[in-house]
Amino acid sequence: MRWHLSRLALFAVMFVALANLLPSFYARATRADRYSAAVTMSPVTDGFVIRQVNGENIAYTTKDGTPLTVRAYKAQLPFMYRHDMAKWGRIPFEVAGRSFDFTQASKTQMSRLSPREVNRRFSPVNVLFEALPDGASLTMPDDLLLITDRGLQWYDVEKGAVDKPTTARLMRVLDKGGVQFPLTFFTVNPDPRKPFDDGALLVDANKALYRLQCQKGRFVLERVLERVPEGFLFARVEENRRREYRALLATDTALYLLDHAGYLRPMLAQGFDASKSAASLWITPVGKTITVRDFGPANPVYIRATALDAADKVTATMALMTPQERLDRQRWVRRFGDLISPVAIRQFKPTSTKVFFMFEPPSDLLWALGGNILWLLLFVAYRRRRPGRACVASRLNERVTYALIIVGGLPAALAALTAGNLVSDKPRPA
Amino acid sequence: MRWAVLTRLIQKEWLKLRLWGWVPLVLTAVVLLDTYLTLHTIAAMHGKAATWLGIVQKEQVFFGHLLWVFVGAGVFWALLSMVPECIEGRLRLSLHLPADARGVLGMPVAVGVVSVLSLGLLAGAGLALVNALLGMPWLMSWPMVVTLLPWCLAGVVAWCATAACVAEPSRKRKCALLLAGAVYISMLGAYRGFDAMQTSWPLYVLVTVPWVFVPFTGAMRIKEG
Repeated sequence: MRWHLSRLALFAVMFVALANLLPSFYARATRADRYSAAVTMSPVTDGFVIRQVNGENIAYTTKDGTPLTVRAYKAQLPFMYRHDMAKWGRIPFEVAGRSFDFTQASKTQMSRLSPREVNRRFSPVNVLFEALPDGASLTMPDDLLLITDRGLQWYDVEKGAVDKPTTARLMRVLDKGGVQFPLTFFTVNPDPRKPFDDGALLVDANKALYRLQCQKGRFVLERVLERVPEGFLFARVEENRRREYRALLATDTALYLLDHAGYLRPMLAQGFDASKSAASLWITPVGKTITVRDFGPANPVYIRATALDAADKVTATMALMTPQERLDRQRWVRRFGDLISPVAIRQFKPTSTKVFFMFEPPSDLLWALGGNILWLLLFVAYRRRRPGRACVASRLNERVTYALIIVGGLPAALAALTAGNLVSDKPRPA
Repeated sequence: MRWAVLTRLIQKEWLKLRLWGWVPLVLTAVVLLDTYLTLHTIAAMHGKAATWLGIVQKEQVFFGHLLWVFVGAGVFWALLSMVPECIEGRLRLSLHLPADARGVLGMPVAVGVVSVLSLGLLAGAGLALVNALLGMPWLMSWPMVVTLLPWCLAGVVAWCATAACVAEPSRKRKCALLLAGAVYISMLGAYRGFDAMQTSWPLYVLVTVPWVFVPFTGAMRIKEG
């Protein structure tokens, strides 16, 4: 008995290639049922309104399913669609006993958080803006701020070297402020078009949160929190004109707003899981809507929404279920996918910016096994139909090939056809 | 295998590659020069800090052409090496000489794989040099250099798939080998920013290693039937 090493290698590469190619082509061919939905609390009716997009159709409804026209839907969200309200001559409008003109209605804020952003490692290359520029607007700094395990470095890009005097000055400020290295998080908004600069936020080795700013060339450090919340993953400096809060923080299961006084305000985001949830926060002068949506092949709950009043008290919650026909269709699509290939090699996750090598198991083992038996029968029939072309092999070779096809399905059958006999009972030719 | 046989086999590879084997090296140098000039122009217009920060924040892979240099080099060197071995029934003749068939076939494979990996090292060093000339901090430059690793593997796959395709007598298997090679190159060439395979590259190395044995399949089929 002799194993053909090079044929086993050919079998392996063909299997990997087909286990990647077939499922990805199948997924692209069957990805036709686009669906998305948005749930927002209406300050006019104090009830949720829903916008559902299914293919080319857009449906607007209330929470209980009453259909709305586009105009009625927009009129129920006057802060979000203030430009439409102005066009229709409905500004100023009155909500919750208060009157709002266009400027007041514009004091809104939208923040979105994706798992890709939350789970991404912070960049070691950043900038620190001059927070009090001579002119009216911020300008892009000429130098970079590098984050190493032992400290921060001020990098002069023109010279292509670390600016040692400025670095020493910066490190003195950090040491005096008690910052312990290595940093576990660093964030700054590098957009020079932002309305003002709120500096950078950094979390040190002791999990304390600091704010670092450059004011007239002087580094200013402020300890904002003695300790970030347990499970801290991410923070973003928002720098919105409303200045209601300074930053959005995410832990593995919760969201917080950090206000300018240094207080953390927990946002009750129902069902938030940083490893798979995308969250959005819509803030108006009279309340907030937080929505959480999980990434996954077929979640029964499509989106969870929580409405808060101006004092951050929960006023209403709702879970929008994924339409049953969509779930049914996806189940059948996945079952036929299992027939084609019991395993799929995937490279991308919707929750990460990295490239992986993952074996995805079948969603339905019975369908996968049925498919594998079908491909085995077809393989045997093909071999028997052309006995002259297929080399007459040992019983052991047959057993090995059949076992590989029972486990690997169509990719294994095609790989076996390409590789030929994997085991031989003949001795190696001289 | 005796040293005398080994030196003869190395000499044979040298004879095959000496005339045109340098072409991928020149192509790599041209692509690196193009990369330098492109970045130099952008940095001159927008300022270095803004350019570097934009590249880091968006993880913009500005040296994507290098993937195709590796793949092209793999295909080119494999054709240079394997076509003279396989035309006019020479491979059948070689494999029936009183010499170890694995050695006769193994030398072109070893030279091909080492050539592509060496090109990867040179391109990595070249990219680091380009970044250093532009004044880019090493913290930024290192993830870019590491990005080349899977592309280098794609070059190895291109070499092995082309060599196996040339040596394989069956047309259907030739097509299957080309398809598998193309899928692997697309898998290894997939990137989302710098050093995108930072946690999974050992797995990619593991699934690429069998390619080194694939060129033997078709050739040994000639001998063994």
